[in-house]
Amino acid sequence: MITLGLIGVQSLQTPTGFASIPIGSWALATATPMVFALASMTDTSRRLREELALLAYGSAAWYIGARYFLRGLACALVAITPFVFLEYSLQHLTLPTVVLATLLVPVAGGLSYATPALSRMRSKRFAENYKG
Amino acid sequence: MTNLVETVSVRMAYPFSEGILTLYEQGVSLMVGNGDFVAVLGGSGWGKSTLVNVILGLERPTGGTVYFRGEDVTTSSFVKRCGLVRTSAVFQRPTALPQLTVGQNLHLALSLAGISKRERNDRVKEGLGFFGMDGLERAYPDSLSAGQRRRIDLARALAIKPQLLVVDEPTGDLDTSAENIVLPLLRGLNRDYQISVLITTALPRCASIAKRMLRLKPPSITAPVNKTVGL
Repeated sequence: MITLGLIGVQSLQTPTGFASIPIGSWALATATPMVFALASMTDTSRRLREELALLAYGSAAWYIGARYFLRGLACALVAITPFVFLEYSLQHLTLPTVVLATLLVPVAGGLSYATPALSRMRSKRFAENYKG
Repeated sequence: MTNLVETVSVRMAYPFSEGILTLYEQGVSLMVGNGDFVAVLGGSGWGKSTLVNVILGLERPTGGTVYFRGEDVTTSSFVKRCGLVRTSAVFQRPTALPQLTVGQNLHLALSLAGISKRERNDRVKEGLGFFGMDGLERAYPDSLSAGQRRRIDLARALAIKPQLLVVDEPTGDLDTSAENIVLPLLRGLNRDYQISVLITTALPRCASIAKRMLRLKPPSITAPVNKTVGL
């Protein structure tokens, strides 16, 4: 989120604006999944404890995955919304682009936030954590 | 009558650098019926926790079959198995979420089990009361002792009112005084609530509280077969 925020602030300070640079959209599209995958992989021990508890409580793996997806989606939405609307107000982005960005980028964020957790829970090593 | 759980010739093999570690070479065949109390006895590294994981669907066996109410569930998830036999598991490691209080942990488990909000409060009180944890509803798991954390897990398991309770090493990490609390409580769960209990332990003294006992054999290690290339 911080990285995306910095990119947004920096882009506003450039005379042409972030969106006017063709590579900017691609940078946003690729940075979001990477930032969220990184965020998902940090603090793994705490997340692992949460996953172990929820599965022991009888939760399905897909439910935990959906939780992470929604968490990632919400964070990405909060992160990009100010940037996208500022760019729109500066007339650097068209309305269809705004709609597309506010739909696709959060979905990419949610997926990349949930994927590491799902692959962790499906790994053979995961159940070893229940053993002493 | 159909057993709640049955394992037939379950085997596990773990390949590693020096060969293949084979657990339960002869295969584990185990049955847990309604109101049963079964103890699995075996030394450290003999596959007690692995057997628990296999029964709960957290690990897949290399061979053999697992049945829940007569249905083959060898490749099914824990959630699917819970649908056939309402099962609660207490693992060797405490599983309570550290960011939630004891009461909130129990509420969450009950909510995931589909218990209505109205019923949850009573069940939480009953579960905590049974294990002598009445005053600790607002405490955080990390502020409690190992024995108390074990009892939280047991209280959470009881609150769900399971048909089958699986407890891996009920006395692991506990001192003798805590052991003397937990073991009679498990026997009480089985006797008073008619909950079928399956425990694993390395201590014959703990296994003796069960109605039936299964002794595991030590694992074997076989050297890898070297493939020779002909001239």
